[in-house]
Amino acid sequence: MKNKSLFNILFHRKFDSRSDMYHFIGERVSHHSTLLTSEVVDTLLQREQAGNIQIAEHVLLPHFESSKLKESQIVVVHLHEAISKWNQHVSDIKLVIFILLKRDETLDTKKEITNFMRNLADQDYIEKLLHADSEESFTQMIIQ
Amino acid sequence: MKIVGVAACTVGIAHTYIAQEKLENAGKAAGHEIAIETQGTIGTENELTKEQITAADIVILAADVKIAGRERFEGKRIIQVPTEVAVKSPNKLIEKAAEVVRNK
Repeated sequence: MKNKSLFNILFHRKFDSRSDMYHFIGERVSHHSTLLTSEVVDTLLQREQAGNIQIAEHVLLPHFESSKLKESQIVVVHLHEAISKWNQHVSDIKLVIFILLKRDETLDTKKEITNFMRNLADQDYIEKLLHADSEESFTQMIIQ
Repeated sequence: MKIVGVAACTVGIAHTYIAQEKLENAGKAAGHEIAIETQGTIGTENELTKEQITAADIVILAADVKIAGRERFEGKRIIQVPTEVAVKSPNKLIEKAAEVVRNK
């Protein structure tokens, strides 16, 4: 069983655009850190410019590390409707997995995150996440 | 064919480990021996041995940052790509490596 507190699961949520989602995440993060919403949004956008965050068809993995985060979080967002145009190069996004890594995080937590990352290399696992039909099954696939 | 490689990304928490897993799976599925070292936020894992490097036909460096110990691969055939290539097209990357070895 994984450390449940590390995961924040949002199932069947509706977001109209990248901006909509990043703003939402920015607000959540700002409540658990000394980061402002705008700083989170800017950091996520900068990360996109540094390199492609798409890891599979329909799936994005935005992530960053910051000393201003009080705790690390993996926020998994399963979208009710795909975001048809994420940016100029990316479209039809149905699953977004945010990795928010606290600077100087413990080795155990980092290993838990990297183990989850390795799961994301499995296309069958990705397909199951994309096609989950209930919050319960979606959550179980992630935390067990 | 024997393949060794290193995966390393900017934050060292995400692409490094997905790239390693995808490359190893693609390499094994294509019938090759493959070992990918990760250089990430938890340090170096699956560190390549001298024997593995010596025996390798080709080296794949899937890296967005400067890797540690690149000199270990001096004189070897090297393919270097950003991690996103290994993450998005691992099978093509392994095919490309096989092609390079075939055309040596």
